[in-house]
Amino acid sequence: MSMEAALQTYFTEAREMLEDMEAQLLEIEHQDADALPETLNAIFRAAHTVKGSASLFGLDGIVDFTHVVENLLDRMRDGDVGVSPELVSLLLRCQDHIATLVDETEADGEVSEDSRILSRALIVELGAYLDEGAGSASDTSGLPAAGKEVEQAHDYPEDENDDTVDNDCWHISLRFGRNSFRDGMDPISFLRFLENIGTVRHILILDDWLPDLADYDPEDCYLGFEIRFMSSATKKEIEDVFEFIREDSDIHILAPYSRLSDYIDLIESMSEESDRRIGEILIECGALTEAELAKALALQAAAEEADQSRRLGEIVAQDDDRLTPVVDAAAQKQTQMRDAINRKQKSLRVDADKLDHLINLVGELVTAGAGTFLQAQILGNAELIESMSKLNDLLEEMRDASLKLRMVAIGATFSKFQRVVRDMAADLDKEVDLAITGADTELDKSVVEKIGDPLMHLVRNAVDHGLESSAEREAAGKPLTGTISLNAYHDSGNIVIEVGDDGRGLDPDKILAKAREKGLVGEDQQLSRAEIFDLILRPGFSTAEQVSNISGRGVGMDVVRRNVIEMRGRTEIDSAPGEGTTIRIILPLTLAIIDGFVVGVGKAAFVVPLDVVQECVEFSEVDQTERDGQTYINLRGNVLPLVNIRHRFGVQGERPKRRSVVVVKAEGQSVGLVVDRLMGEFQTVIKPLGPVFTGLSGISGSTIMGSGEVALILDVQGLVQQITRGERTAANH
Amino acid sequence: MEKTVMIVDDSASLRQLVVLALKDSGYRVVEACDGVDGLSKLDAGRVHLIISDVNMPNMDGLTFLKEVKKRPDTRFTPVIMLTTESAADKKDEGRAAGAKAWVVKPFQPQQMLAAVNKLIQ
Amino acid sequence: MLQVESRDGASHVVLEGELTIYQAQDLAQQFLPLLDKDESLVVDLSDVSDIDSSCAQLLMLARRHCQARGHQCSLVNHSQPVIDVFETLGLVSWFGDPVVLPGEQGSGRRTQSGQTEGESA
Repeated sequence: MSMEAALQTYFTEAREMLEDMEAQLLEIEHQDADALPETLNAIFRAAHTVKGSASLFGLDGIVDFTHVVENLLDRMRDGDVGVSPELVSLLLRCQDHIATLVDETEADGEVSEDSRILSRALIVELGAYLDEGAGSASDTSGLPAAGKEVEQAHDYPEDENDDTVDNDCWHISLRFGRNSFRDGMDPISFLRFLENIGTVRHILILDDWLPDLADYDPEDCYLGFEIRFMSSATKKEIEDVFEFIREDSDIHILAPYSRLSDYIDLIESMSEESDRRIGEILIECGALTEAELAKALALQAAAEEADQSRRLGEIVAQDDDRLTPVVDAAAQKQTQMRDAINRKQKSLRVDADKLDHLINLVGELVTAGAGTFLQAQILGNAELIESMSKLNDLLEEMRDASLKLRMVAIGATFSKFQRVVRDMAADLDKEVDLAITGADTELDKSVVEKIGDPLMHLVRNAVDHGLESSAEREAAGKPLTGTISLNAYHDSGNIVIEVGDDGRGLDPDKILAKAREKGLVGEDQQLSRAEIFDLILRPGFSTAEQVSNISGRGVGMDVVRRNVIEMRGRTEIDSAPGEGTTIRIILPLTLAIIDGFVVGVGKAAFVVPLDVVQECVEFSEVDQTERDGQTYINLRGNVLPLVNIRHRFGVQGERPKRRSVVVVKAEGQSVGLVVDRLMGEFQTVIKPLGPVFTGLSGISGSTIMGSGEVALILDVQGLVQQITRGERTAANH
Repeated sequence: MEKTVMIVDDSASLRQLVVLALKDSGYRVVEACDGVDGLSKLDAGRVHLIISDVNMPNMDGLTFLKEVKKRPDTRFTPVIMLTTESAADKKDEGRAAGAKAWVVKPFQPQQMLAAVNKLIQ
Repeated sequence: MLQVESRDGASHVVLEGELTIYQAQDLAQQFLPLLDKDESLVVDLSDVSDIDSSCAQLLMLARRHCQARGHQCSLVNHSQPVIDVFETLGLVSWFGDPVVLPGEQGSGRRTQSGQTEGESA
């Protein structure tokens, strides 16, 4: 692993920690007193980890600031500083600021001047709380006072592990083999390589084996090294640096926070050297303090005298009050590291592109399987058909399983809104709770990525316009605190996401009046209740009499609609006056698979998304009427505009006598597609069109049929829009 | 200073992989397709590190290694031997002849770069 | 590789060019006899273009040999490649000779007189 990669891991990890920190901070205000200590501890841990790892990489900009935050959190954890909404707000701002520091460091390698200034300003604010805490605390050393320069934060003593501070490095003992030079193994190269995965804090070259002139062979290697090495690498990674000299050289690697007994083992394992000398070396390069070594050697001697076989580390742990916490802390640290590693190993980070590629391949495999099955049927070999159908079942299971790989819980998306709701409520002077249910509901990652924006608009709109002001609520006899609810669940192959509020509700009469005023609805046009509510998602519609700067001018709401439609989803709105509004987004579980209805025109096949298909009727040219270049038929008394797929896509070939009309509905408008053949339902994996085709209207993707032929997926939405636009243009003539 | 690495292997694609792995990090790479070719190209200029396959036509890797260790101008040059897991006896012979660095095939480009860096960075 | 000049009761040695394992044998033959002259040594490293651990080790031996006999063995005018290698190996503080470094004083716990606490070794 390179330093770069390790650093990358750090940035990812820091962001996760900060998200966690934010979530926990938002918890605090809604929490019982007995749950508080654990929450505070979790917040402290997040800050501590962000700071601790940053210091491994020498990211001072992050360390200096986060350290002060960590101090304050430590005080809060100890109960020296009380929790207040103002303090939580400050900590949220600090958390944002740390995230900025992390982003800047990743982008530019350092923290911007603006951020440094903000760091100082925030430290002043934090200082006020630290001072307050100092009144009740016995020890304030190491806490920067308000207004102090950030740089001074460097000299803090490590509060909780004073005794282990010297041991936060790896300790590496190297004794090179006599033939190292002859074998081309120069210590310089290995030591330089070591710098790739960490920082050599101190290196001590040992001349103990250098012989007298008479015995000296200039091609022999007599060198040894003791190294204090600061690194986040694993022991394996450090060992690997020396893999080529492992067999001929003597290499010992001790982890940070190793027990004293490990050092004693090291001392004892260096058989050629005296214990005393090794001890001195360990002190000289800073691995052990003199006191620790003296204690260790004395205890070792005492233990030998008493003929006790107990290991020295245990003796130290039992007999020495001062050292006990050190050993415990070290052991605890190791346990924590192990736990973290275990946790990480339970899940695996996979590049999303790789997953997409896999799903694509599996999709093609299913298609190829279907094609082979077809061939088997043509051949009529019963055994082949039998085994092919087994294979196909497995392939389909495999496709479902691979699609599941890309499913993620929506919870993380939902919990981002905690902050949005909180900030907006403060700005609007409303009291708002966010109730989240169904956070475990899983949906395709590609859907999750696209749903964030629409949800943001809906939530903002609900807080801003949906909920009444506190005064209004009080007058209406409702609880002062309004509730915004986010909910998700699966419903027959779809995922449903609801954004609800318990606010004033929608007034259908008002909406309709406004829509008429704006010319969105004709004067005599009759609309159902659902259709009226649907108007609020139309472009250019806003019912808010007061346009606030938060949710804007209703611009966002039509974005919601557009995004949802792009995802082949739809929206539903429920509302009751005085009780609130719920907007429901209904989406396919995955964007990768489509339930299609296959139609044939000439030799070409087209796929119509099944969910827009209303019915199929027989086509007769006689019933067709034409006006302004647009053809229509009369469908049970209603005018149905037609799209002749053959003409629309210039399909060649003879026109059959019998043709069909597939009635599809989109954007509230029904349209008939004239096709040659109906070929039935077909579940298929969508392949996006290449960039060459992005300008192509009426087509949204392609898929490969069981026969191996390519079928184009019709963009029904687009086709319908073209017709409605065409009608408007025609009407204007 | 630009350092020169020689890759001796009868597989052109493997040599290509090694070139790819090393050239971005500033190494000059000399390619040779077998031991004989390798020895003649060693005459052409200084090489700081040699990577050699074991199983090659004309002159196999172990013979080549022993020749390299005899030549006064290359005898201390580090050698990385490429091996498959199964060739344990060859490895013992190679180690005895002075090849201490062994990389198992197949390897990732960055593994090879790391191995080279460990020896001549 | 090396030029010697005797003046003021000390041998002034100028080392030149590459000092690697390939030169170690020759360097030892030319340099180590100077240690028998029983006088102090000043070793100029300004023209050393490359040095590896084997030749650095030879300098360590020289220093220790002189000190044991009460003579000085000072290294002067370190070239950049020498400084780089000395820093990597922890030799800047082992030798303790003043090293001209941009912005940093390279000397550790030893003084120029070469009095060492590592002699107990």
